[in-house]
Amino acid sequence: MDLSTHQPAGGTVYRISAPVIANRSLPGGHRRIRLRAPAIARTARPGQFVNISPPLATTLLRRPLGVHRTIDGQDIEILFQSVGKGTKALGAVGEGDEIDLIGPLGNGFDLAGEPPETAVLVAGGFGLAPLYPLAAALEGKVDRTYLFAGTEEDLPMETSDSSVHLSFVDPDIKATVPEFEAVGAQCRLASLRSRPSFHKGLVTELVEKLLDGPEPLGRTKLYACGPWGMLKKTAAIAAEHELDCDVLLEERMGCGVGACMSCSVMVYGDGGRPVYARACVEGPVFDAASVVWDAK
Amino acid sequence: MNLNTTIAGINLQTPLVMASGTFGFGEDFARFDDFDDSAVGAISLKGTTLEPRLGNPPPRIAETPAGVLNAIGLQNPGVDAVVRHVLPRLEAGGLTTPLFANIAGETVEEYAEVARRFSTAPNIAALEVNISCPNVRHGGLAFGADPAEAARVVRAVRQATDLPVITKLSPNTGRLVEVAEACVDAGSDALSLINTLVGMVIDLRSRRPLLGNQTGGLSGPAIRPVAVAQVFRVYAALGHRLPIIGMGGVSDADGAFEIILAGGAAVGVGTALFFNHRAPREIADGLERHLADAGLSRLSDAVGAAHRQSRIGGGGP
Ligand SMILES: Cc1cc2nc3c(=O)[nH]c(=O)nc-3n(C[C@H](O)[C@H](O)[C@H](O)COP(=O)(O)OP(=O)(O)OC[C@H]3O[C@@H](n4cnc5c(N)ncnc54)[C@H](O)[C@@H]3O)c2cc1C
Ligand SMILES: Cc1cc2nc3c(=O)[nH]c(=O)nc-3n(C[C@H](O)[C@H](O)[C@H](O)COP(=O)(O)O)c2cc1C
Ligand code: FES
Repeated sequence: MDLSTHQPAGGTVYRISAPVIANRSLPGGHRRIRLRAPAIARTARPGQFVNISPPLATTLLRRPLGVHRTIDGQDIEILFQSVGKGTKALGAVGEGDEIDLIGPLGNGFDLAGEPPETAVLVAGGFGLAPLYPLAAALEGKVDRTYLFAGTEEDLPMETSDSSVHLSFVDPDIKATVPEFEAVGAQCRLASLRSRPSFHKGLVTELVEKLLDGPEPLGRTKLYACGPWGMLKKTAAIAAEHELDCDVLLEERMGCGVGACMSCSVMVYGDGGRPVYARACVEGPVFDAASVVWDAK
Repeated sequence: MNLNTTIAGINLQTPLVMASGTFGFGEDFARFDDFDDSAVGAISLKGTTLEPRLGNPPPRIAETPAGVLNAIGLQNPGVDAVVRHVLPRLEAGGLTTPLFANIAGETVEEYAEVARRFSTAPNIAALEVNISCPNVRHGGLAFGADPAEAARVVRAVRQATDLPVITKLSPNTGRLVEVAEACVDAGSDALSLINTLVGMVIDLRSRRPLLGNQTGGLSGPAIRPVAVAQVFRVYAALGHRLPIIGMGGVSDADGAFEIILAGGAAVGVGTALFFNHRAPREIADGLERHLADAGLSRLSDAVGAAHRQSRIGGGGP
């Protein structure tokens, strides 16, 4: 990554006053909001995000939220967690309201190169949301997709028990996310506390079980989104198995378009020298091997 | 209506200057499908040093009530990369908006050398000497808080360039007017103010300062009255000698007009761009309305007008 010349990057950004089509609550206080934003729905790639102004000028800065799904080139759907002022205000909007947003932003997952034979998606908590469009985009391009998600709370997507048997986990570990199964991904869930059908432990243990198990995988790539510690561990597993691994990183942002240097993530630049890259332009998806994991 | 303004001999099509550090090196906002260049008077590029600078550890930004606290720490690719790669790219792209190079350094010699190197570029209209960055350990504020130190920097830059020199002042000093006077005496052709105010946010979860640099610089609507007051003071003392680019928290035409009435011949717009990239166009349109309402045909007639309004019979409290 050559960051020495502050390359402008990224495609066209649209600002839209997007009518709210629906804003539903999900288990655990999460929400799924659907917005009419055709220019973004037509151009957004998996892993890209929008920057939303919460309603009624509740906050000064916009809030970055991943595009979870695009619908018919018309609408975008976002899954979000109400954690603070901005996302709480967003939770209160209703049908007919309009939301000011800009996007699509960020690089998104690289889907241009030759796809792997096996895609392994690793999510921590809310990291599940941005991985869904990736799973959907990979369907038909890869031979198989796995999704492993770790969570201590309710996930933002419905879960149930899978009818599919997976050789590398105990048969009673069968919690799955049907929406991911519907796009061809085999899923298993993990939690640190005992929950029926969940693997008890770290989500990355499921990744290790798969990689060390009997399934034929061929060329394999990991894609991860979640808390820093989980990503760091996933990156270490990828390095150990000599696998490519993309991680989606969340940083606090100012402008969202590459102008202010607020969202910097430390990466190895040309010649292995640590430099700061912009999560809003060079990211939010980074090659795990390029991230300086001890910087945080 | 005519929004033309002149700063140190440079003609700006509107008085709106994109504030340093909020507009990158002039390219990023062009990504918006509807960014309106015609409302932009000048672009002040990101603060640039002699060598590339890594900047501060994240987090680098925090929101405050009505403001933004940042501690970027002058991350930039260094003057040579800007002169060799960025500026030619802007020229090739046909950008005709005047560009101000915002220069920073840890020593007087570094400021002079950065000034010298920028002066070789064909498309830099002026140098903005940043003696007011609150987020770097050396240089920056250390120069901006002391009249003699500030004068040393400005004199060295003045000798190193034939370009107009704008000095960017800090609000973080009780000696603002003294510093401003010293910069003018040392050869500054214009002043810009204010840079950000030192602030801190403590993260209640970790119970530690939120920003990687602990303190940061406050910008945005919260600081506008401070900016208006400081522009007013500096204009009162020095407005007859040189133009002022006033900035701090301007996000709409009302705020911009306040700055102009206080004494700004031009107005910087920074943080507002983060939430409204259409701010320059909206402000320019609104300024035309303000001038019309005031019965003025030229922007220059409004500059500093707040000093000339008599209170007696003015109807105010
Ligand atoms: C690229 C990207 C994609 C994201 N996608 C999603 C998503 O799909 N669903 C979802 O629920 N959340 C997502 N997030 C996190 C989301 O941006 C934050 O939860 C949100 O900004 C919090 O705002 P708030 O006002 O509710 O919280 P507050 O704590 O009041 O916010 C204060 C400030 O901190 C910033 N901030 C707080 N937490 C985060 C964070 N985790 N990441 C970045 N900035 C933060 C806010 O933007 C704001 O500037 C994403 C973040 C990034 C960077
Ligand atoms: C993220 C950020 C980065 C900045 N970087 C610089 C800089 O490099 N040089 C400089 O002179 N001022 C810098 N500033 C200060 C602005 O140019 C401006 O003086 C200040 O933000 C007040 O204006 P505003 O409230 O309109 O943003 C920066 C401000 C922000 C918010
Ligand atoms: S948020 Fe401004 S550069 Fe990324």
